[in-house]
Amino acid sequence: MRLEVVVSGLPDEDIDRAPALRLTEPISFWGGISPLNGTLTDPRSRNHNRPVRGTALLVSELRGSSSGSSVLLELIFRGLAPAAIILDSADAILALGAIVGREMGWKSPPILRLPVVEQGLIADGSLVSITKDGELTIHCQGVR
Amino acid sequence: MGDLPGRFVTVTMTRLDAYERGLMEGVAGDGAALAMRVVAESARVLGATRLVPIRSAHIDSCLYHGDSGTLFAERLVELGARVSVPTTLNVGALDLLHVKVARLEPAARAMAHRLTAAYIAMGTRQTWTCAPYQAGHRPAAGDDVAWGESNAVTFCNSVLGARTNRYGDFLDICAAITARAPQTGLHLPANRVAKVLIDASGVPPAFWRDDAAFPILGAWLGRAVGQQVAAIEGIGHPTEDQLKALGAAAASSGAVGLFHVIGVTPEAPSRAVAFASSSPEEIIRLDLAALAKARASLSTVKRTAGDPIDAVAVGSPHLSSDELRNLDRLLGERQCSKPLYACTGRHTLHELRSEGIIERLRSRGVIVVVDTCIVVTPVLPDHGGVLVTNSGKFAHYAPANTGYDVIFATLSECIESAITGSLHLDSDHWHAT
Repeated sequence: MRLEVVVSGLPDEDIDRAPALRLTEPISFWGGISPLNGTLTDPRSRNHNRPVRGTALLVSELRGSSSGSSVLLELIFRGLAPAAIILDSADAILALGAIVGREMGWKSPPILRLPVVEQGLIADGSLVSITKDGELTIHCQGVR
Repeated sequence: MGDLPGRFVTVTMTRLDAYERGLMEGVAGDGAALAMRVVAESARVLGATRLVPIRSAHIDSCLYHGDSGTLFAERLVELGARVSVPTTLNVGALDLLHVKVARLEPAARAMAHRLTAAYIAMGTRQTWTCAPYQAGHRPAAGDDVAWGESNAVTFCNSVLGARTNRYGDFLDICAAITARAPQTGLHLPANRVAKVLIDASGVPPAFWRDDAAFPILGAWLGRAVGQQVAAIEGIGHPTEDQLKALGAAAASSGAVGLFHVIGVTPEAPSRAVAFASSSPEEIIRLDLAALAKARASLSTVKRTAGDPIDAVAVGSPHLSSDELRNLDRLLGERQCSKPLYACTGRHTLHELRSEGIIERLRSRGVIVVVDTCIVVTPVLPDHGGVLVTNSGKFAHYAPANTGYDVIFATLSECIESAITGSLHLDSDHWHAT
């Protein structure tokens, strides 16, 4: 399937077989992901303590804080960022983290857009490849 | 640009004028060029076809979240960037006036200091407050500005009638350097018109006599309207500090960036003006039951009067001089037996310097926290426990950011609880729900 590339990654290259991490609950990057170790922090979530590093992170609904850009930049700086971030709608706050990461010359994930209904076609744990133009291929469906 | 296939491809071209193109090409230096690229890229993501000139900025990126933010600010400084509009700074992670108040690890403290130095080097005003609008930074109604920090944004739009979106970290400083922001959202008059009418005529007028009514209303409003623009009718004539508390709670429980109070705020002299002569798309009749539920949602634990508490915090947004005077008056000659943290900006210390209030509060066991606050940096003792607060915003953020459980209370309940060390409740019917 084809995703809209909101911000391209650095380097701008294809992503090969990243595990999908699908968040079905709303998340704020500030408070929702630890910038120190890159894990999901909500103790009430079934994803609690899962690391986002190297994943194709599917976000159904983004919440809140304007400090989300700082958290994403810190994840990028520490090498803890997802391989790609896939959002329901373009979000300027998260995009800013990636834009500034690119400006700093740090390896930064692309930000892509896929409506939440279509995110549902990608099971949590699937391996996905994404070309730099946003073409997404599912290799094996997750079983989680 | 129709060369990309696919349903979701929306290519926005942001048109830059001669000044903006010049910045991008480096006529004002490499730092301004970097800032211009960030502003233009954000405009493209937001779908803005143009940029809007801005007259002032308020920066939230000066709060230390990790080394990357320091390195970005230092990059801007190295490349010669300076702000080109009057720019204030939000709270940082340090109480710069009282070095022992915020406990950061030495390495983080050093990086937080470097972050501070970088923002000062870019020519910003060292306000270090989340209430810049009470520290002399008051744009005029209709001015376009670029402000960060959700309560400041909401106050700026709603109470001052100036126009800003809720700018994410890094875009705020880049807008201050370039004097430009994406022309979208609340910069456009059509998006400032109310859509939802909140009819509060069913709430007894006596309810609005207590300051606690306004953060409760804010907590309810944020959940009820999300980021829609609401106009509220029937809450009397709130003071500026009450509107501040309302906006801060609404901006933390929801994504409210602008609200109107009919007959009070500048863009709502009447219902007709607030709604641009259209009918409300939705009318919500507010009642006490909804407010009681909102009040209960601000506490994370149930406690009854007399139960022990561990700390009390007031001042999110930062206390104004009037609020500090009121705290001093209510506390009187009594001594706190549990720490009462009062967060404020250095502007109030300056305003109150001849009144002796700060010294008097300190002598009675009040810990006056300046330049920062208890939810953005470690200030509270790290053993955890129960925190009592009258701030909707502290109630929202304290559980996750400090590990404390929270009980929302009125200011007088906060003060009495700090004095006795146990929970004092004036209004039992609220807490029974």
